[in-house]
Amino acid sequence: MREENIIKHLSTLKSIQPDADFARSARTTILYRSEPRSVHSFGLRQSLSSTLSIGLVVMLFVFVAIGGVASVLRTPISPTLSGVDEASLASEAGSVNQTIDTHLKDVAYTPGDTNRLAMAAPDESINPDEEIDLLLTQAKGY
Amino acid sequence: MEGEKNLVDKARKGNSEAFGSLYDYYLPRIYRFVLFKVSHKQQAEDITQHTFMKAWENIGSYKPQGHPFGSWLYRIARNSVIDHYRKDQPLIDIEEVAPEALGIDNSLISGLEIKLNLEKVLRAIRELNQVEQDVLIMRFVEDLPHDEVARAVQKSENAVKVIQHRALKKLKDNLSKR
Repeated sequence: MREENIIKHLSTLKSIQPDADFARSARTTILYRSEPRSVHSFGLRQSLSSTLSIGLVVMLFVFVAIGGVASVLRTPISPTLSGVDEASLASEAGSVNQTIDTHLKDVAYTPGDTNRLAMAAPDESINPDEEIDLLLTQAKGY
Repeated sequence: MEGEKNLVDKARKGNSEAFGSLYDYYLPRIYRFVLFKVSHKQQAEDITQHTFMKAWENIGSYKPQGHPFGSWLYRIARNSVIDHYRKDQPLIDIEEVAPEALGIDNSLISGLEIKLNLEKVLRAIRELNQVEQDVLIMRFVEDLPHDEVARAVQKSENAVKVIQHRALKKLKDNLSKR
């Protein structure tokens, strides 16, 4: 089929018309059972969306201006590093070390006997050899 | 359309009679466009009604900008057809593509040869992609100028000319295979 014939066939399709009943009932449904949304609502929606956009841009600008992501990441997970006085930190750490050393010296001077565990024997005056002899004598008695 | 701008202005202010006149003028065009896309009379009627309903409800947001009202309607119709296919992919009965089933006046297709050729053309159109179908229907069935088709399919005029050339060639190839 030649191109001109195809175009001619396509133009004959123009004769197709919608069903008259459908055209009438659809007209009634569209015009009398629905109504256009007010122009104000479109305008309001548009102005709201533009206001929201401007607001978001301003918020983003302020966010970047006050330190942005870095300040968010710094607190509260990790300590703030800016403005720390290194000298006072070092002296504080030194005093903590001193306290630990003092306690260690106290432990060293304490007599060893006090740290011994109490022995299981009920009477410390009995010699172990004598105790064994006593036990053997008792056994012979049985 | 004579006095279209005036009718559109009135319709935008909520005048239903003005919109009714626009409906009467554009209904056959939009209906045909949708019918060739879905090849099903009932579905074409539903989608056409939905298209005009959406247009009427949203006419407040329509900005004429000197373009014909039809471009906006075709765009709504295209989106409605896309939505229709997205929701459920209908199976097209090949018999429904027959001219009688589509409602073509039998007096216009008196000769058997013409009828068979028309059926072949309709089936071949369905093998083209969506935008190629749109361009061919708008250009050769509805006689719309390139710039109006370009606005309806949201492409440049040059792109529409290229699509038209490609679509006609594909259609010719499809028909020669039959």
